[in-house]
Amino acid sequence: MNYNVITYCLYLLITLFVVVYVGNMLFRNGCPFLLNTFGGNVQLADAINRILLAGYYLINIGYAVIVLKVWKQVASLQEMLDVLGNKAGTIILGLGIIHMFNVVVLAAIGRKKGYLILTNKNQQP
Amino acid sequence: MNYIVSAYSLYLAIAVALTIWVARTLHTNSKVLLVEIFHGENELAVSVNKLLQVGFYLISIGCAIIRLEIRPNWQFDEVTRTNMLQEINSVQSTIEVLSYKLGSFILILGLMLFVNFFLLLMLRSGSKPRTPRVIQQPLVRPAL
Repeated sequence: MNYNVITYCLYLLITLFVVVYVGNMLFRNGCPFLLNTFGGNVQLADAINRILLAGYYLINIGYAVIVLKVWKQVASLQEMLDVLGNKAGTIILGLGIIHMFNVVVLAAIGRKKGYLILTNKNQQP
Repeated sequence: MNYIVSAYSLYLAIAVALTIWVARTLHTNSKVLLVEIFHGENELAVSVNKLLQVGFYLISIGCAIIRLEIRPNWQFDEVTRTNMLQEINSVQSTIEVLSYKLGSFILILGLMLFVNFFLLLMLRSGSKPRTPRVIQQPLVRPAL
């Protein structure tokens, strides 16, 4: 059990926790949007939401597991923290960017279809 | 029992478990879509779902078994400054090799799931009953 193995275990724990947490949040909060898109069919929206969640888990965890490898030998606690910060930070940053992109695209679609009204121009004072 | 054999058994166990989980998730949830595609014919939807599920299992597990073999990688050695064959003789190198194998297999599974899903969505939008087009009557002035 050297430092590399401990780093791998910690890295997997952190990334799995973040991916599962973000996925759950998206699952809960994406439901109303899907309901709107599929015309209020609750069963259908729920099924599609679950398939999307599974796909999200597979893609993200697959990528996180692929980039697990650290080429150099980790010799001390400080190096371990360096490597961990670098790797986990990259994954979390990537998740954040993908998430913001998704939100922007969904907002654009919603505005185009008239689901999302950001400012009510017709409101009478 | 050396490290490669244990890596093989771990890889196979995780891959098969993941395949079963993904197939179950996909096919319990795609039943709703299939019923809609076949216009409410429940029996037909269930049997098509079963066929799709068997196909998914065969392709995924076949892919996992074909990609089973682990070959030693070329790795840059910092001491001798050359590329050396990485030997798989410790827990660390086993994890490194296994992570690449498993990660790429998980990505393939995700791809399969999305291909299946988009296929179903396309079929659904294709099978919608067409609304009859309303032909506008030309305005004809009534004869006086």
